[in-house]
Amino acid sequence: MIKKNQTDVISVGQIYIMIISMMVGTGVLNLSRTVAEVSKQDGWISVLLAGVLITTLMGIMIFVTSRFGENSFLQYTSYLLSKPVGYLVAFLYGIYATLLTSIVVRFLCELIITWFLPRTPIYVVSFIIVITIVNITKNGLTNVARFNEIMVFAILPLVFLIFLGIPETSILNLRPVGGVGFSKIAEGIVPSFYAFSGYEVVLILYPFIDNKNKSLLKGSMLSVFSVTILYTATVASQLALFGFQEINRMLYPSIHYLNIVETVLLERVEVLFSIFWLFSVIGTITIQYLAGCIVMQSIFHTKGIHLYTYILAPIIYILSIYPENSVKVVEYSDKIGKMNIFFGIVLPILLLLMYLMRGKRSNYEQKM
Amino acid sequence: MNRKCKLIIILSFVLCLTACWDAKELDDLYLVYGIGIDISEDNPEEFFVTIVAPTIHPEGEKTKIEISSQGSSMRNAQDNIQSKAARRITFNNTKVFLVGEDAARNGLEKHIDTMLRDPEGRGSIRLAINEGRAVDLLNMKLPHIPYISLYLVESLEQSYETTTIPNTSLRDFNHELYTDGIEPIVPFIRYGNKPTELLINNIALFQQDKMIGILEKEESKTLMKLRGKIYEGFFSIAYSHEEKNIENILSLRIIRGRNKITTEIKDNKLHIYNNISLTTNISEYTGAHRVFDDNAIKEIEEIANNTLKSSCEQLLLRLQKELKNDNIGYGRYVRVNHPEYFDDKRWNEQFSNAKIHVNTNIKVKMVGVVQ
Repeated sequence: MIKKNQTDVISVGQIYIMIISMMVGTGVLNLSRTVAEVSKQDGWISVLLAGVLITTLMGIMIFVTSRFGENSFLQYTSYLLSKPVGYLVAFLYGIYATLLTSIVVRFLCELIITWFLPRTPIYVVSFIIVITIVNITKNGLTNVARFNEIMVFAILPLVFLIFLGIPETSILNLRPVGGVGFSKIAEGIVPSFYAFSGYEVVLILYPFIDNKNKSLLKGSMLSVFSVTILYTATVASQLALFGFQEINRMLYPSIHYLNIVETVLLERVEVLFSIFWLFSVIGTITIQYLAGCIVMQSIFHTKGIHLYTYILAPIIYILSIYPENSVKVVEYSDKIGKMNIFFGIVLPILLLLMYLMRGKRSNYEQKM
Repeated sequence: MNRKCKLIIILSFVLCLTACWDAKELDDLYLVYGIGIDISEDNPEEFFVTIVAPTIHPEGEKTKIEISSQGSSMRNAQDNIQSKAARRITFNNTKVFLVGEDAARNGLEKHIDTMLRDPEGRGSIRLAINEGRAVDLLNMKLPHIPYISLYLVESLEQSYETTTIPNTSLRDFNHELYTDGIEPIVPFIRYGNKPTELLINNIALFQQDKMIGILEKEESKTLMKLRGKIYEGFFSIAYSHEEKNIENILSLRIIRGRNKITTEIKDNKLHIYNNISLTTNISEYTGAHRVFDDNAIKEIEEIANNTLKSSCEQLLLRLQKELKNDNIGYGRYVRVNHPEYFDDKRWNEQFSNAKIHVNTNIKVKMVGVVQ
């Protein structure tokens, strides 16, 4: 059983917000390019399918974790997959969380340096981000949840910004619908995973939810689905504006999308977007980082999580400044996106199968 | 002691809150409003770049500064410009990018890439080609307005709203350049009869990134209608009714318009149907005959339809047979409707062999307040 104290409890509402905040991150910047490279004008269908798939996986994750109440990630994986494998999976998750956090920190640095601080060295920007994260996460999950509750308001303007470019779009760029064939559309699901990655933190955070109720399953799935709708609309509008051929030449289509619009009040909408987006990404990083720390703490049985928030910080910092250039950053993020396939897809299905094979909760509780 | 230490540390943090230590004051910058590029006169391998920026100096005699320099590329020339400038040059507020005729025939892709690669450059910067050299236009003195770049942006917008020219931005150009089945078009600015007069009613036609031809006044308007970018504007026809020996002019004000493009493959031949519908009001008639009459309106509609149809067909003939270049973008429809037929490498050839049917449907709704 995990030991809860006041700083490590989150409410049901907070977990919904954390799921949304966790998923909306750096991936949205280049999502339309990565899918359009594979499934061309049907990229939005790939994203929609990926979202539906992930909504189902979210259902599976909540279903499995809810059978184990307040037992930690390490405990139930150890039970379902045997102790050595459970430890291995937990340890790998710790590494994955560290890598994912550092690549997101790096993405954030890239954006800040490109748009705001072109002459500030990356190690300074990264350092400031990392100490901010440590400051937010060191006091535990409740603080992070509250921070994200506020930060979710930074995501709302992003939704409205999708509509800005609509008058310039042409539906012709989305036609013929389904023209690339089902196999290409299915292939396009893989690159969309990076944009969605992060939803698997539910496996780690579930035990910390206070007053779990039946609506949790529905609510979590709805949270994932709302992100799916946001992403599908984003990709469809960008494809309709640029067409898949032009999108292939852009590094961050989401920012280019705003770059072409001049509103009455603001000349440079993309700068406003970047500011809001920056906070939403900080939200993503805090959750991912803390999830890694929680797992590490459970492996080594130390007293508090805060110790790991300090230990992992230098690692994150070094990893974030490691990629030599933007090309390498995108390369690494693709690789980490592929690792997400294990934790986001294979692991939940494996856990479900093992749960069904190894019996129900009552048996489990007798064994404990 | 401990409290004092804390207090000192906290107070020292306050210093960080002053912020913006490296902020640039507006009068330390040259905010470039317009950039022009030409082929260098001394060395045809090099480019000649000109920038225009307001000076914002209370004691300055002139309100703006023009600096030109030569370089092997656009950025290289801009770098040379910086070495001639007293303040830092910034492209954050650039409104218009002018390209001289020669530079446009030489190819635009590399220059537009330079403009868009740097996050300072915006996709919404307006693009225009001008007769002669861009530097001459940017150095032109207009008595009624201090900044020619702003005047150009406003004029381009106006002409776009009267369905005369496209209001091409850097991004629009990029889009048409990289999308299969369409070739770019850009407004072309000519000088008028007076030294301070500019004519903004021509279109430069591009094949890939190189300018290959110019459409004059009426042809430009026809191209915009074929493309379906119909807003307002006038459409004049010769209408004489029974006074056959007198040439009377009837002008229709376009209220709104629609354009529908469909494609079909019949007997292995590509047929393209371009249906243009215009809703118009009569705004001028130089004849003495009454136009407040049902038959007269029907007759006007018929003449207008025939006039528009024939001008469309003439333009299409030029695009298909003379230039062999699809500046209308029919290829985008063919790519979507007949992917098996569409060949992105040979599209312009397929376009020149296609049978294009133009149908026009002009409706006259009002005759004005005079019978």
